[in-house]
Amino acid sequence: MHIASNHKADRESGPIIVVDNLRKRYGDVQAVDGVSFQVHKGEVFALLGPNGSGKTTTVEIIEGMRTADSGQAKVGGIDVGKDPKAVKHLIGVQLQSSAFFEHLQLQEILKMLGSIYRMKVNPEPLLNTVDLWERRSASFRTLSGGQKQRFAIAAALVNDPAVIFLDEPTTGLDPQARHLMWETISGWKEEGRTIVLTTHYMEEAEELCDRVAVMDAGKIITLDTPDTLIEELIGRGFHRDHEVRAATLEDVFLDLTGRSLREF
Amino acid sequence: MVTRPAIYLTWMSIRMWARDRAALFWTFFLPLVIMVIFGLLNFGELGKVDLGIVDLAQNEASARFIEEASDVEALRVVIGAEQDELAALADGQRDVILILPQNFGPAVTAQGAVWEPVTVRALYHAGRQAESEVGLGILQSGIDDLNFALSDAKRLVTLEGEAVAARDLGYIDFLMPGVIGMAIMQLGLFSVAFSFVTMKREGVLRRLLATPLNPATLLTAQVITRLIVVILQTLILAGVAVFVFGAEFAGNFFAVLLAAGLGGAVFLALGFAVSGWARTEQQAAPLANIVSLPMMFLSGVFFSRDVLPGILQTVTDYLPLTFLVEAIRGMTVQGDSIVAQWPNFLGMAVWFVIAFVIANRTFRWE
Repeated sequence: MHIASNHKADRESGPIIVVDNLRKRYGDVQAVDGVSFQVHKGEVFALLGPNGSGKTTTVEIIEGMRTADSGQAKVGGIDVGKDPKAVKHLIGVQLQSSAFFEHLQLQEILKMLGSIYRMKVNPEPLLNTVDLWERRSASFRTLSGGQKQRFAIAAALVNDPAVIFLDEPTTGLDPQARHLMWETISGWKEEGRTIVLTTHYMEEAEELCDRVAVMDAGKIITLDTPDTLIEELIGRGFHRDHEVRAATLEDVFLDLTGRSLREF
Repeated sequence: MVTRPAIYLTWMSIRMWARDRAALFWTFFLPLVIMVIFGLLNFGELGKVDLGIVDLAQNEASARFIEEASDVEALRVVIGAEQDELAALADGQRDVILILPQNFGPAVTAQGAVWEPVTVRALYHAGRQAESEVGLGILQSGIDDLNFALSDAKRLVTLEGEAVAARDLGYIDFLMPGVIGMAIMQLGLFSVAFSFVTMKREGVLRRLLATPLNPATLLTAQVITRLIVVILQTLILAGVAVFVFGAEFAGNFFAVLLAAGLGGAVFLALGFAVSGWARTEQQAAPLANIVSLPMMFLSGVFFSRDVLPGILQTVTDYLPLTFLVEAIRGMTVQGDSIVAQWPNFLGMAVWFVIAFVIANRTFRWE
């Protein structure tokens, strides 16, 4: 039912996320300093920025996990500050470091998470999406780092969310798993879901995202499509020191080791 | 039909419990082993009084006296030479030694066998007051009897002791409520403190925070699971004590379970307070031990609080484990009702409120 779901109907009918002048302070640090942006339905949107730039805090405020000092965030027209629970019903979340209950099988964890949304979950398609169906009876702890990451993605999908938040979804994945992740995200976009992600991999943002926002020191310093941002930079006379070749080392790696996933 | 989250979460956390070997060990196996070991040792029984008799008279009268003393059940009689017995007393192997002098017994005179006044010296161990007092008391009444018999006086006043309690109470009857209370304390404190600190540190709670789960629902599921375990624990420990060791269970069964449940709630709340404060398991462990260890020894789990010095007795009157253990003990041993045990129930209720307020203030999700 997750795969078949269709969020396409209301695609491009306006912003699904509206963030207006968010601020959040931790002690002496102004983690988020007046952030505003909008994300359209069916868009893949990335928040980029060095560590400590405030992107995770921004995302967690939108997810209803933290409260902002001031400003407003709306998801699907619902004010997160006023009704975080309603927003949490709409969204799926993969955190940077997620963990799940001990002594439960992967399939049981998914069913349990489903019960929180009052939904009956069939773990098979969810685990198949991330190639973990073979390990459905394993416990979370026994998974490898990459498998944990993938399971966290599956867990983000239990409630068939319209908006999916992914915090560094491919950090620590090998190239094969990263490419699979990219295909999965593109598939969600095809289904009409909206995806907000943070990443440190610029080629990932370039490949996947419709628009990106670059944050630094709690502020958004630029926001546009990857192409526009690159054209702008070239327009200002930027040249790479060495020429761009037709293939990268990653292409070599994938050519040598193949594209199929290694751990199941 | 979609199950309500609270029910589903409870069901899942029961499953988690049943699969957690460490939890099962600490919850069921260890308290059971403790009870079996202490039950077999009959550890708390007041030892017999070790009485050494130095018989300097070596006559018929002294032989009869020794024979009668040996028949007293509370005495363990050894006969020996004076210096040996004195050494044994100094070593703590005897509680009391009795020296029957050479002139013990009737002297043969022209008028026949006549008793002259004679003094029997009793030396006792100053450090073993309870045993010495019991021993001296028995000896005193034996000597009184002897006096009456010899003086042919009519016995005018007789004390007749009559056992009113028909139950034969042993150490196991004392121990069972203690071990049940201790097991409930350990379960409440440690299972919550550890599992919540682990879930907090690993980010399990944070991940749940990203779902529309009501925090109260999660806590309810966890508390219900543990209360179910408390009831199971009580049933198993009481079952073994009653059916294997023949422990007394006089009171109402459900009233005892109610006391166990209330005690469980107190210690679960204390466990949440600990887990709220501690950030890592390394912090939770010593704190939980600081709370539980003194109570294990001062709340009358293994031995009566009567042996504690006065001030300590007063202080330990107010420990949560004291309330729990004494409520259960009052019910199982004396057959008390909940109403009769209201001070202990009230004590637990007050502790629950205190612990709940602390837990509510310190509990954090990440």
